[in-house]
Amino acid sequence: MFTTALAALGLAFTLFMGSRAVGAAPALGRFLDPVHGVWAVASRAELPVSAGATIPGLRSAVDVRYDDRGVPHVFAQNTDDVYRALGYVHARDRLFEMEMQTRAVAGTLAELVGARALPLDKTARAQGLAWSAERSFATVAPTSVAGRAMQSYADGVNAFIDQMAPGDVPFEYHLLGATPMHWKPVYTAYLQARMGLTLAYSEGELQRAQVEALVGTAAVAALFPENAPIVEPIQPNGQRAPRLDYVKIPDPHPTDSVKLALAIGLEQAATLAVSDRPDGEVVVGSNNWAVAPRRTAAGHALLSGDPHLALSLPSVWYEAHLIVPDTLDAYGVTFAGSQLVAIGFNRDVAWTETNTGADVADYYVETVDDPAHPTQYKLDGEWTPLTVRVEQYRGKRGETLAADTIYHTHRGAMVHAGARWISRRWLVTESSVAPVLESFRHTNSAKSVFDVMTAWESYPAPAQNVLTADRAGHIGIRSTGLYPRRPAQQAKGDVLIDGSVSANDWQGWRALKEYPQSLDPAQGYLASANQQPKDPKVDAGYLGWDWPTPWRAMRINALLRADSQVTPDAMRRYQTDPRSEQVGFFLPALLNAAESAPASDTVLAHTARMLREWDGSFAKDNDHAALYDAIVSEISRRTWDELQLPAPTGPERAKRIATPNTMVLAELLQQPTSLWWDVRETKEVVEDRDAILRQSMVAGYALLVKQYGTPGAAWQWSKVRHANIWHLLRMPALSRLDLAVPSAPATLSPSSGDGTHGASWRMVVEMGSEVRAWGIYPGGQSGNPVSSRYDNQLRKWTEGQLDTLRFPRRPADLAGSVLRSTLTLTPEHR
Amino acid sequence: MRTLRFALIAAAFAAATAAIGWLGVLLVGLADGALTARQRSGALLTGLAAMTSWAALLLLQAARAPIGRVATVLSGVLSVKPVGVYALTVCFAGLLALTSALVMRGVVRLSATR
Repeated sequence: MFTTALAALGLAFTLFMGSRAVGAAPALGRFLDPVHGVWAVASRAELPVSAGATIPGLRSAVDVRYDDRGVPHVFAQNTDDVYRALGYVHARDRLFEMEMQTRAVAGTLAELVGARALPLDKTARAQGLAWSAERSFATVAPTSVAGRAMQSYADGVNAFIDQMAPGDVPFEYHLLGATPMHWKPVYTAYLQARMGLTLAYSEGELQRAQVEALVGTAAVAALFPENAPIVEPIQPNGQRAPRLDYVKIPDPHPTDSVKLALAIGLEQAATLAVSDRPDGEVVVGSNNWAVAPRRTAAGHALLSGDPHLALSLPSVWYEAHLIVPDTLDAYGVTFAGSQLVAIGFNRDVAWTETNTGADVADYYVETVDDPAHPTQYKLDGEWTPLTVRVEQYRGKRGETLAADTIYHTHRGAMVHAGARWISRRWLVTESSVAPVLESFRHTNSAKSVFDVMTAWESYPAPAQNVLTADRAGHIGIRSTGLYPRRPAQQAKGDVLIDGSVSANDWQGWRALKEYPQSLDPAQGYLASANQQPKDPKVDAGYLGWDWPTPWRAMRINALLRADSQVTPDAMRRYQTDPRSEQVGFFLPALLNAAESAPASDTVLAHTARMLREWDGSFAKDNDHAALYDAIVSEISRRTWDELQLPAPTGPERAKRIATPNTMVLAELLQQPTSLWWDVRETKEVVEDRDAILRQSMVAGYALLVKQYGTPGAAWQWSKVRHANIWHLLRMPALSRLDLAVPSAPATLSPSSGDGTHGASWRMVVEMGSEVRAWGIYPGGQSGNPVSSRYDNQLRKWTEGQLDTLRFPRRPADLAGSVLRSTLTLTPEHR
Repeated sequence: MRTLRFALIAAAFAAATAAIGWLGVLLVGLADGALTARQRSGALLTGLAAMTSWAALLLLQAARAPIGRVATVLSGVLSVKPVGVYALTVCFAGLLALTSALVMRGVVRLSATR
């Protein structure tokens, strides 16, 4: 009897652990099952020599050949079929990533991973990306090219899901005890909107209003300027060197306590936590450049694509080659979840993009009838009803976790910011998915640079600097996307705007001819690195403000100016060039400041000697670069102390609202006695520039000694700066962390402080009679952490190497040792 | 006879797992408990047979696929050594089989005495 009772208890425990997830642990029964559970993922870790599947609606058989790098070359007979097949191969390799990204937009992550994702879901719903994507998708006719493309792609994804064997179910679903959801065509629009969030979302106006309250209107305009003080535009301006348009940065004004009280409430309106914001430098950037045949060794146009994004495993990119006879022959990187080659090449033309960073989000202070429960807002003296959206959040078992009410004006969603309600008009939430897909579709089958530039004429958002080169030797660039035309009284979008009058609303879009652009420039090359696209002396029209530093753009241009015989390998080397133009602005000032100090300061003298010995390189084995980097961080920290909110009572540190970028700091170096150099905490002294530079040198040195020990090998850049590529679930075991990389904050391969951003795809294309291309991305084609293809490109990526990309014309061109696997997709016979 | 019985039960566990998943172990365990209720011993053998069957299924997988990599990745996720992942797997099957067989034996004996 006792034995039975004990056994019953044991059985109950085993059944409980077998069927219910406990904490982060999955339900063990299904999870550990050797046939249906997590062990089965091993069976699909590697590509089989050959496989077959059916897809409903497929019109002809599709021959998919995976090369030795695991890249599928999809040979189809028509475009609908090629998108069906791409949906299938994306799902086969990246299904979990696709669902995760989709849910991140939809605000339904908690349904997949549990209540811990609720804050993310709330942010996503408040941003309204899925809501707007649904509305955009509803306007796409199912029979249109874009409508058919999204449906065909969904058919392919769902065909894979419906035919999944246990081993096909991605590893993460086993961990989470979840089942993959079916794919809807609208999810492509979701993912498009997500790129808009990554590349065209800004809450800068909210921070700017806070900074204005702290230091005054004139100062904020200089700290976060409309025009970059170092002019090196994307659209060539005829100058052979950057122009320094320095202005005097006004001293900080005393804090306006009334404005500050209002401004503090703005923190509630921000959807990005302060800790998520990069410290002063825009880390999501990208590079691209193209060289005309007359400046290349082989006489063929060369193009480099080097987009920088948040790094993740699996990667945001998936390489694919799509072939439809006489219609499409495009190779490059796709987003898992979308149908088209985003950055790549075909037999005639290559293309790549960097982010323009145009200001396409404005914030309006609204007047509402009831601040606690608004139902109407005032517009031109009339009360206008608010649109109300109720959002319900559910957990893994379908239980309701929370609900939110989101109010919309005609401009967009409102947020409660202290005593005020603020609405946001954001181009991304009113952009249609169809023109985006059409732009990429036409680009994928373009025959020339001119075709590519035409393809992007109707593209809405996020604005991109589209660079292209063709086999005829043309190169071109255009910063394309819709740019709001603002009313004369509100010509810029960098401040909070009075929402009570409709005259403050956008009044259409800038004309195409006003876009920053260039075709076959006299200089023989084109480059962009997110810098201000146009010289304001050429066109003073407002496109945005607080542009990223031009260090990368300056470096690319310096390299290209110096080399009139560029080779593909030189293009590759440039992508991880270890030098930064920033150094030339700060290092001389540091050394000068040290020389004017008393000789008795031995630490300062030692630091100065180390800086003088430094060759300016951020190569992985360089043991001086870390010192410079630490010093520049110290300068920034000490200089911008005026931008801290008044310290709260208690142990919490005073919080800096925003950090001007290092271009503005370089500008400030020209004002040695500016009050910005003064550290407010040290009331008894007024520091000047050289005092701060000297203090920063000593502090930077001390910091490194504390963290890494005495100078030497321990200070090697590779030991200080790392790339951290997190898995989407932030599990260390599935991530690749502390990777030594040839990256620094302002080099061509930039890295952020926490190493989570960087070069997401590096590509070089030579547009000769036969197109040759090379590429790499940090990760691998498979999303399966057990697969050898999960991270097989990572080592070469960290070394700045590229793989040769295979570009077969026919299936038979991929044979023997370069053919890894074949997949035959056939129509489903009912 | 004992060996044959062990092999048969292990085969039954493997077949049931392949057919309906981990709950197959529960069903076979209960059935075995009912069939062997009048024997003095045997439940332990049932547990061992379940462990053997899942170990055999893992070996079968290993012959075709790199399950060592699964164990390595899982060991990182679960913060245990790779061998612990294998042990957890076979022990789970063993515990389920043992307890289900013991409970069913107890139930059958109890009902027989009433």
